[in-house]
Amino acid sequence: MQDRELLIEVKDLCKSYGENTVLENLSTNIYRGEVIAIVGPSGCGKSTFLRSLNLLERPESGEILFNGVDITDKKVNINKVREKIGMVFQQFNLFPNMTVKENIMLAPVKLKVMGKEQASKKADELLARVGLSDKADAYPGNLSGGQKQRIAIARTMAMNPEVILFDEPTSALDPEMVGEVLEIMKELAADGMTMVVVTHEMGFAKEVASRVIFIDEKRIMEDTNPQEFFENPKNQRLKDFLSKVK
Amino acid sequence: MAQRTKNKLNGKNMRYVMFAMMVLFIAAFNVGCGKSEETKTKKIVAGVDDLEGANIGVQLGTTGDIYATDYEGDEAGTKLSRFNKGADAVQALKQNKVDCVIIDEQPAKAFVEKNAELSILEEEFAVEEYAICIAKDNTKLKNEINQALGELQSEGVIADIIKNYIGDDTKGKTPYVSPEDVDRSNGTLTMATNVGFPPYEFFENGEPTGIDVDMAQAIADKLGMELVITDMEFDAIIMAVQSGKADIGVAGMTVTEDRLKNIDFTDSYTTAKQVIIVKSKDDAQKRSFKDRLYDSFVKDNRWQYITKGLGNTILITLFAGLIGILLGFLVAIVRVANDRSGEKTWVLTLANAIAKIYLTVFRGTPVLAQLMIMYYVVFGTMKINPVIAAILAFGLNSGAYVAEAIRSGIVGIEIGQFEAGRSLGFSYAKTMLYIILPQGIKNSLPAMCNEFISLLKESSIVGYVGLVDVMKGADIIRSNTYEALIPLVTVALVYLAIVMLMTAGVNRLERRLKKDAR
Repeated sequence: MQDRELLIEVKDLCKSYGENTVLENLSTNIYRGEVIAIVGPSGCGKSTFLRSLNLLERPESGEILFNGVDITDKKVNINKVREKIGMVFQQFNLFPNMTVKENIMLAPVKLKVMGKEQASKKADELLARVGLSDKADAYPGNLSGGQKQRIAIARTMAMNPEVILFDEPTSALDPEMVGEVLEIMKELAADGMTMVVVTHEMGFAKEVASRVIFIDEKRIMEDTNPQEFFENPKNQRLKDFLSKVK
Repeated sequence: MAQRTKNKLNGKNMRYVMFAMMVLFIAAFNVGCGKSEETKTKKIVAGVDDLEGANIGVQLGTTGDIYATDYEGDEAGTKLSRFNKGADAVQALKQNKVDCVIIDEQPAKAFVEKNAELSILEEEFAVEEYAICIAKDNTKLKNEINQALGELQSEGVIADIIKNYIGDDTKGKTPYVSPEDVDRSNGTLTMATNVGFPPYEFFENGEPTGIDVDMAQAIADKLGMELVITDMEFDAIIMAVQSGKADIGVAGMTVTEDRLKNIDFTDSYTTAKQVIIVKSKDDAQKRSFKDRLYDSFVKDNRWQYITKGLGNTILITLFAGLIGILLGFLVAIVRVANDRSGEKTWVLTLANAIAKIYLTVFRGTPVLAQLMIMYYVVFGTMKINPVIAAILAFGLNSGAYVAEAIRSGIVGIEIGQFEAGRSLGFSYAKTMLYIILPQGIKNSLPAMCNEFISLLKESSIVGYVGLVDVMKGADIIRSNTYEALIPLVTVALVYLAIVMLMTAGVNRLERRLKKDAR
């Protein structure tokens, strides 16, 4: 266990909207190669926690160290950091005015991470990987929800991120499309990608995650391996939660 | 499939528009030839005493206007209709919209000569003296002009010029010709006038001419200066001279107490009378449509007023549109940045406050007022090409509307698009540039198209700062021919044609941008 490399270190994270506190002194470590599932009742702050990791939500206090650098420090160029932290949204957020391939190539080319030719090659590879090579020139409006989410994953992969944050990636999908997206995520996990996934899919948490975190009442209530999490929950609120989702 | 249906629909729309245009033209034609029996007037004016209770037509800002104002709103219910041009007042008289017109004698004669159904009452309304107006602090030029006028009077030049335009026996016999080899090294003499007041100033072959023009030329020759003539509305002349846009105002202008408050006058160069024109009989024989068409466009190459005006209309619309787009973008970005970005700097707050004031002022005031303020106040003391003033005024105005169009286009974009951009590593500015703006512009295209159509149509008021655009071109034809229908319907059709072209262009662009839609 000692040789695990620390990627993200969260220290005493606090976030509130006006009077309403959402996260209170939340701390945890994320190691390279981990697949962390974050579960909890709706409104518990799990999405806010995830969105804090790339500063889409700016916390009031606390530190977030990415590769040892505190990204909440205003002197840090957050844009450079975000190039290395991918994100996949519930609503996909593909750019509707661009083709699938343009969606994937936009960031690497415009942010000068790679040349146009290289980006094109990379896009083709990623499209093959998510099984949508034939949709390269289609527009997002012509894709199904499942296809859109697979493209969104390919888009974020194009930047070669060190970690990918998933914000309820299957919640907006019709049930028959959930599988195809989870399949891609499983493959990513198997390839060693570090992933933090806010999800309602207990199946995914059980099978794919290396660690499951239960957030409720603004805090981390349980943080353990899936087997322990589902078979031997210690926290009473987690027990209630699991009995409801089963 | 969807594409084809749309094209078909467009074809259908086109036919509707063609049909509507025909209806408009026929309707206008019928109105123009309308029976004069539907007389709206009740009052017959036979002398000065009959003015009480009548509807009197005058030219705005003339002495006729000033005198007739004494009658306005009296117990007898006298009404005053003020027109921008003498010719417009005469046209209203012909159409029974007013009972009589009070105007200077010489133009009255010219009008009556061309319109058999009109006549001048023998009883004079008032006698007055014409003089050249000049800025109050310009005593040096005033003295020079007075001296030149004195010389021209004693040499008989002024009398010859007047004779050349007035009097059946003498007309055209003593035209003024500048002496050869005049040294014009003393600079330019800019004369503001209101062309459309024959015989003092009127268009002939597209050039202003008449008694005032010849006399001003003679004065410029004496002073060794180059004469430049600027045509504008009569009530704008004093403002133009006051602000230094023009050195002198020569427009059959009478010295009055009110005018002396703002402006100085040279010695009088001629006396004139204010007379009353009435309609004495019904319309003279109807002229054939072909003849009217010939008069309006072919005679004296009058079509050139429209084509030359079209150049200005397009020039102003194009460049004002460009300024509008640039400014609109800038303002929209400031507004959106202020609403959306988390960290507000004082620069942004200040820029946003300025943007808000700009939007409120320019969308809350008439564009005509903005144009006049731009020309007569902002550039009041500077000599500026009115085309540039018009482009600036319309550009500023248009920018406000473009800004709101783009802003609403951007506001309609889901916040998720913005977050996707930021999470990929794009800065705020790059997210705007690569992701938000392209979508925002597409969303705002219909509103922007409407704005440019408005801009084109609104540019028809540039005549107020002395520019000849399509509208003013038609006005000039109208004041020469007393024919309202043909020039007015023609400009309407010219504007309509340009608008349809623009709409077709934007529709094509929209279709191309819509390719990503389902």
